[in-house]
Amino acid sequence: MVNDRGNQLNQKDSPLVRLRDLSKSFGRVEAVKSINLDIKSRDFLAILGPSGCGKTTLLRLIGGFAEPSNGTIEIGGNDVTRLGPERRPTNMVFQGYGLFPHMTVRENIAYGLKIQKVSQSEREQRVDDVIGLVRLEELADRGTGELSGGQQQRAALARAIVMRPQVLLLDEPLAALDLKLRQAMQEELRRIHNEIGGTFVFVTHDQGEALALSNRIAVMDEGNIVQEGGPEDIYASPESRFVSTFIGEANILSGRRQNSVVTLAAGLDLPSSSGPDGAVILVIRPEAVQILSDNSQVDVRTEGTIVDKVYLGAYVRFQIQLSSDEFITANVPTLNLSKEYFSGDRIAVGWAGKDHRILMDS
Amino acid sequence: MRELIKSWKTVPSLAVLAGLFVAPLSLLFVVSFWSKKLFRVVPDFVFDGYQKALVSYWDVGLNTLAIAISTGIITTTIAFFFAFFIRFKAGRYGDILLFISLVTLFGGYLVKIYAWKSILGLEGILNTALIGLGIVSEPLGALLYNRGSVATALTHFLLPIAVLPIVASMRNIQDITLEAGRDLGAGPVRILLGVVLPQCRAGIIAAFAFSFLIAAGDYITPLFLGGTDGAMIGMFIASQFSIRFDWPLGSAMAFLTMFSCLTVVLIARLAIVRGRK
Ligand SMILES: Nc1ncnc2c1ncn2[C@@H]1O[C@H](COP(=O)(O)OP(=O)(O)O)[C@@H](O)[C@H]1O
Ligand SMILES: [Mg+2]
Repeated sequence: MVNDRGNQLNQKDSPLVRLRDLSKSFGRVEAVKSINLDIKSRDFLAILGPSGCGKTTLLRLIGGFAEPSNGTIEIGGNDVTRLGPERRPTNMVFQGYGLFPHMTVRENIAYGLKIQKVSQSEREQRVDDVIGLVRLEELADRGTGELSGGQQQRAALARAIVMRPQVLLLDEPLAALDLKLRQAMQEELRRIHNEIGGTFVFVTHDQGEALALSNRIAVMDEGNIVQEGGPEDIYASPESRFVSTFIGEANILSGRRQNSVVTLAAGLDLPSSSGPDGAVILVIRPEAVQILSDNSQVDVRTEGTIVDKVYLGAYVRFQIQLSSDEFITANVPTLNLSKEYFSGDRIAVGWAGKDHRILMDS
Repeated sequence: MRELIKSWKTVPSLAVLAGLFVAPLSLLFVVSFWSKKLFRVVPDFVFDGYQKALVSYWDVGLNTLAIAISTGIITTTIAFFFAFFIRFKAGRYGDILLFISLVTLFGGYLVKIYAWKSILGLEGILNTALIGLGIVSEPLGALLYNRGSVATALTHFLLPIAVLPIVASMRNIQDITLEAGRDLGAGPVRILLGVVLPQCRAGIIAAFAFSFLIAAGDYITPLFLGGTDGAMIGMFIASQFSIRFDWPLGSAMAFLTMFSCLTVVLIARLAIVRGRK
């Protein structure tokens, strides 16, 4: 994307958006608590967290709709902390769309360019381009009230991207759509990001959406960013119980670490790399858990009883009760099952040591 | 059958409408063509009433329209900003503010008239203050008994009536449309005129119509505050019925006034709807 507004002098690698000790309180509620975050140019960053964790507040701080209680916001090397939204190189796609009901789709999209006094010919060109990009050609001259949810969504997106913002902010852009439309719009968003190549920051509570769309994820919990990284990192190496269960499914087994040995309640001793002594949890994804025939070699092995079994086509999902009375879920590819298992069977389960993570229990 | 029962249910409200509205108006309309013979009024079909009204009262009529139109415009403008404040700026105090402004509506019509009389009069608060501050040496007589004093008192009285429909239509405006406007670079004036105003046209039209029509029909305020400059047609219509017993003339004046007022409201409505860019 061409950055019309902004500072071209900053070096290539320095982050486009830099949040430092950013916090926001509403009375006694601390919605955002001292957040530090760098967003690089061309990132498609997902801010992911459960409802009420402060995602919208964080996005509104970046867009200039709320004043931070503390901290600073830099965009493109400029401190914008005290600037209103009309003076920031950002544009927002609101959760409720916020289309102007007294204007047609085209007028909505042209509104910001008119304010910028972009010449009529360029304006018409740019408006037509984004209308094509979001595929609203047929509806461009309708009132916004005649559009379906998905079409309004696309109109709101077009109205923001026609401004060519340095940072495009999207607040749960797909939450109001039904599943099918949501998947279609996910693809559109990915395509649009590829085509215009801007920096997107989008808020979602849907971990599947975050994994599918973004190249970076910042996981939020109770006003803090608890982990940040690429989707693969976050999925493969969650750093807390919260992250491991919020993103994807995870089995959690409790244990203790003493003298570099982790003893699980399920009766297993595992050598553990250094870490403080105390209560720990072991995190293992269901797809990493195997049902073992007698001769198979794995790093971690224990016994259990199948209490439930669901056939899901590509894989079979087992609920297994361990000696600690903890339950563990195993998603076993149907093709890997050498024999048929039934509820009540005693079986051996295990996994490769590289697949689990041992975390301090917080 | 259902349809019949359904339509029967509208009979009471239609009857009320007919009794309160259509019947007196029709009566008035008929009377406006009667003729006045010395001390009594006789059924007839002549245009004497209309002729007399146009010849003798055109200046008062125009004065009335001038006062009422300016009252309507000023009241609606102030009401728009006040409603904007209540809806978008006052937060949870908005409702309290609206309540207070409604209570002052019922705070008495005559009280407001006397209040303005004591503010603007020769020995009124304003003159006393101006003399006290040494700005003028003699009390200003021009403050009272003119169009301005009538329009001022009427605006004060009508403000809550105009605020109400505007607040009501502003309640339907989504807050994020204002934020979207700012996001796209609009300053406060653009937001107000380009985003808020077009979304509450219905309320603005209602506010103007209410305040203009009530102002145009008022005959108490000009009586107390208007003097000769601020005289309004309502005073003269009332006297045709009460003192002079010239009902045909009174009816004709009433109809001409009503007709002019409806024309003004329709033009205003057209202007506001057309204002759509
Ligand atoms: N304008 C506000 N006034 C008071 N509290 C607010 C306001 N906006 C958000 N909050 C509170 O801040 C917290 C975070 O809200 P929000 O950022 O909307 O969360 P999310 O978008 O993750 O669901 C919530 O507890 C919410 O009640
Ligand atoms: Mg939210």
